[in-house]
Amino acid sequence: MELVERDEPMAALSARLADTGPGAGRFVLVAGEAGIGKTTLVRAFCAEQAGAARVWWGACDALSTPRPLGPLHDIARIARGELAAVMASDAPRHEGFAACLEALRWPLQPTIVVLEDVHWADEGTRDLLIFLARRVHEVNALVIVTYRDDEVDAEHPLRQVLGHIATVAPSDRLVLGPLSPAGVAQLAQGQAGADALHRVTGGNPFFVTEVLASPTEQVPASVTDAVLLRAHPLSAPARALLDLAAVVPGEAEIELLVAATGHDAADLEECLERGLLIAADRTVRFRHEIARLAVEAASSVVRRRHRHEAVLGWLRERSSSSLARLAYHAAQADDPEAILTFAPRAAEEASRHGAHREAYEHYRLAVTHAHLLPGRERADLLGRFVEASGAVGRFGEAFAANGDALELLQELGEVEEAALATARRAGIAWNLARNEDAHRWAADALAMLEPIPAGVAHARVAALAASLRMLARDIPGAIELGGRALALAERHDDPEALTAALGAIGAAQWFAAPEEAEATMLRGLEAARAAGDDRRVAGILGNLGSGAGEVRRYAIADRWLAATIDWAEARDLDYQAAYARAWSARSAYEQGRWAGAAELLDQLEHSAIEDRPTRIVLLTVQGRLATRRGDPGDPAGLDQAWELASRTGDLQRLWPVAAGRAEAAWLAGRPEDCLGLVGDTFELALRLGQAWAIGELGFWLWRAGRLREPPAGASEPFALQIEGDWRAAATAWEQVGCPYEVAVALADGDDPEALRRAFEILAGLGAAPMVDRVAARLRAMGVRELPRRPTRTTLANPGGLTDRQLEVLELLGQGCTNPQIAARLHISPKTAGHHVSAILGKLGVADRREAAQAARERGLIPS
Amino acid sequence: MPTFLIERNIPGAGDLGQTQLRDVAMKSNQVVADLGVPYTWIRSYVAGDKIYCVHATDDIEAVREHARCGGFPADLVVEVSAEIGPETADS
Repeated sequence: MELVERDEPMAALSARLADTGPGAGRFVLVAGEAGIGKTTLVRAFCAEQAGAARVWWGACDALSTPRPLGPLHDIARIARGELAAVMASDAPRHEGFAACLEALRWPLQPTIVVLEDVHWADEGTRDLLIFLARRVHEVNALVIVTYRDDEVDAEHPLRQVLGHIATVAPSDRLVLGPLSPAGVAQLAQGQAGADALHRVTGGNPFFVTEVLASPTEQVPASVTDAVLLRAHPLSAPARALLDLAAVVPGEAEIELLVAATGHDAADLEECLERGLLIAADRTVRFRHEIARLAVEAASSVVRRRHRHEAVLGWLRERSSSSLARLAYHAAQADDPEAILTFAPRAAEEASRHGAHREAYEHYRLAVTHAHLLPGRERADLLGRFVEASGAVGRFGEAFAANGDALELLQELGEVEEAALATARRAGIAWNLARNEDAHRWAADALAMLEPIPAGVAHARVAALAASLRMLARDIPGAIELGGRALALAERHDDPEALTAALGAIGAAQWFAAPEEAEATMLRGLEAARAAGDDRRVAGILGNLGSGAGEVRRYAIADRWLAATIDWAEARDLDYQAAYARAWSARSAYEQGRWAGAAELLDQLEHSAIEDRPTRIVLLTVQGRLATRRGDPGDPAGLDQAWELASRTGDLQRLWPVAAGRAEAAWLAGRPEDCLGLVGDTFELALRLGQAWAIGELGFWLWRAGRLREPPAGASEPFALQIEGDWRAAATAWEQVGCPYEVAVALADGDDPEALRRAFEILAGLGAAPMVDRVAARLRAMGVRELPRRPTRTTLANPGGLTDRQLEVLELLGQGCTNPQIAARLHISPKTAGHHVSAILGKLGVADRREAAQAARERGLIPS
Repeated sequence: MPTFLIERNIPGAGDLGQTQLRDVAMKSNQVVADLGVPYTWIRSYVAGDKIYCVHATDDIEAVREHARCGGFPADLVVEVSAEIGPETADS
């Protein structure tokens, strides 16, 4: 296609390539509607730069459930070498990503990596995009991504990926618009009626060229009509070949077309001459996907189905056929036997590549025909569908399918399988925050296995039940059940049960025998590593960190949280990484590193996490930090955290929020609210014997005058303070490593020196409400000369704005809009928007104007 | 077999370390092996912002293909028409 009115984007691409060098890679997103000329532009650019860069081209295909990592396979074929070897092997996809990155370090020439039509990308390819975005700055590559922006709405899975690219990678976005009337006239090369042509086509270059190629005086009303008009004069054999090619997305093998139609390959010439098809080595493809869809839709459903049957038949005879293709044509041919043969295998392949969404889609298709399978196989398929649905967070569907599988297994008298399915049901229920059901089903699963001799199923069910108890902080229960699971797993040599059991016991030991926890979890870690289970490794690493954090062993916690983040991010296990980050923020906050905590929380807020546990930790730490700093911002965060935590019913989620809300009430001078805020959670903590929870919640009840003595089982520092031994409490807190708590304990005393010390610590932290209280007490004791107040920045900046937010605030004060701020700071407008709303929240103002005013008043920005 | 002189513009070429030069050589060897035509990489000289290479093969296109597959810039490819040295004076 001739390139018209594309000088600007061509120049922009050249400029970006000029900016690319070793250690200075970048992204360009090329957006525009179908037929606007994205591919034409990028092809022309790559051809122009053939001497200056090497070009790797990977295309996403239009299969309803695309090939997993299709584009990376395309690229591997071009790149050859190590990448090709890894992609051809069964190596985990992480190695393919790493090999790709390694190859992009090539210092002699930049590589142009084109990922075409990513609105069709499978989940694995979307993960690849995120992987590359995070690391493109290390390599020598210009990554060009094309997509149809009008098809990527807020719900589209690519949306989040694009947002992520804009946030983490040096990137630009080129939006291709329609041609002007002059541009259309240029394409029409002086033919009459260019105005009408522009009007009807809206300046869409593909539409324009189709119309120009169609043998008619009239301008067809739609692009489909234009394509069909162009195909109209074809001979019958040529048309038959074209129609068959139209049911094959992407490249269609010439041999396939010939075999399926019985016509001669020579008849394809007509299609090529008319510009309907483009030939490659042994394949042809439509000039554009729009044209393929137009031709495909022109045939009746019945004819199309016959064509898909023919394609399927041809593909089945070839061992090299891709499973995704086979599954696609089986589905389109509506052939249940073929669907049941290929869809589950395509699903397996997809999940091996981390394309969980595609695996789910394939299984979902297969499950609709599951009734044709014999009972045992049907239950097996349902079970796999349950796992696949769970992996994409569709717990509702997982739950329903699990119910069907369970019923079937019970009918079949498969006791062990039925018990495993019941245990799975318990796990899903936990994900659905139906914790009571979860515990009931876990108990049912154990009971089902009682009558039969112990085996692998017993080990797995017990391990899962132990994990659920651990999560609910029923520590003795978790350790007892976990021990049983461990013994069984060892006896039956089952790695899955072994890692699960060790993980559950280890996490539980933090609360019962913390000295042993690390060692147990390290054993679990080894087992998970040996089993090659990356997700489980990340899970155990994370529990090492958060478990140690919950019992305030910060040095251990920080070490393992950092290890979790490294491990999970290198493998793009985003949920695990986000949870560990949220926990790092909590650890930093508890250790008095508030600026660091705020920074971490801010980063997390922009990463759009949907995971419940992460969200709860994030909101809790945010709310508690704001309370202690006395931020005028939005107090609703803790209430929201409370609502989410209540739905889980788990002590580990409830207790920190309950304590935070009580602290806020007490600082606001409403101690009478404390009982209502912590009472029930305190009872739960007592029931479960959780020392730190009993201590902290008991402390607030004591503050509110509801307790006289330390409750049984309270952790030492809190117990000392409740007993009134504030000196010993302060020392204990110092050993634990919590400066705010040290100061709060000192502030309970009546010694002016201790109070001065408390004042200094609190002022250093920027804990405004407690600073005021201590200052008032010192004054009441007649101390004239108060220690130095906190520095200007902490006072003037009570919202604890981060450095980035201060930059944004300054621009905001100059009257910049979000896009202007984005441009000045080289961030996306969306990120700029996030910063602005965070600033409004922290300053406690309603709009930008007020924010600028408040900032000037506080001297945060020049007036 | 004709000999070709290839000039490659590579900013900072002179600063490439031993490991990087080894990678470059490995890559070049691998591409040569994959080309499927008679092809000999004779010698290369790294100098300033350039690498000058001497290759022998039948067709200039093979030199360009080698560059394309390997990711080596090839700003100038010329066939060597004669080779001279001090001894040429005596001939």
